[in-house]
Amino acid sequence: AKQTQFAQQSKIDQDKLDELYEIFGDGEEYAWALEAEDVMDADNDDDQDD
Amino acid sequence: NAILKKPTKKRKNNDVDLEAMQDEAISHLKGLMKEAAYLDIDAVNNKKPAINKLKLLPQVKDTLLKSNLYDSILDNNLLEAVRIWLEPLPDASLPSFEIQKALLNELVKMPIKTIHLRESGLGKVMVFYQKSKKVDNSLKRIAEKLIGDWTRPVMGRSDNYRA
Repeated sequence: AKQTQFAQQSKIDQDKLDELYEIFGDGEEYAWALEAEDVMDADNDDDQDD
Repeated sequence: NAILKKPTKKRKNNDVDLEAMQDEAISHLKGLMKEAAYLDIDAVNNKKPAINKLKLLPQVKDTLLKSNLYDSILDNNLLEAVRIWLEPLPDASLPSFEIQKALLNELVKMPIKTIHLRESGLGKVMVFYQKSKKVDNSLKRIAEKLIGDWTRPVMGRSDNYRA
């Protein structure tokens, strides 16, 4: 019985997790823009070094 | 009785008309917002100043701050256009601070539900605002608050099934 309860609990948690992914995405949507920010930052650092 | 009923019915019709008019106005604005966003994307691609969203911003602000329009705004998925406005441009720049500030400040007040987030993709862009180094700290705090507000109902759901 305990195992069933645990399975039920983790099913609920999985459902919630899926819903959060659906709402907030997996972070890939705008990763390109965040990566571009890092590149720009690195470029600026280079400028300062010059 | 029939005499008493008539005015009620008339008012009801007017309510329906008003709702239909609001819906139409909101979907019209949604079209304008999308068009402005795509023109700005083109402008950035052609290395020209992107000012189309900024020109439309006063009208967008006027609409978003009217709480009597919230139902129509949410039902007609105007949040999709808001999401597009907040997205980074092709050169990874963000929309102007004015736009970010105006939109985030109005979003905080709206009764946005999970379904509206699913339809609009607004939650995804908010996570980006939370992470981006280019977003002002004052707006990051608002983004964090929104993410918290939108997470809570999901986490809380079916928690009290024992109660």
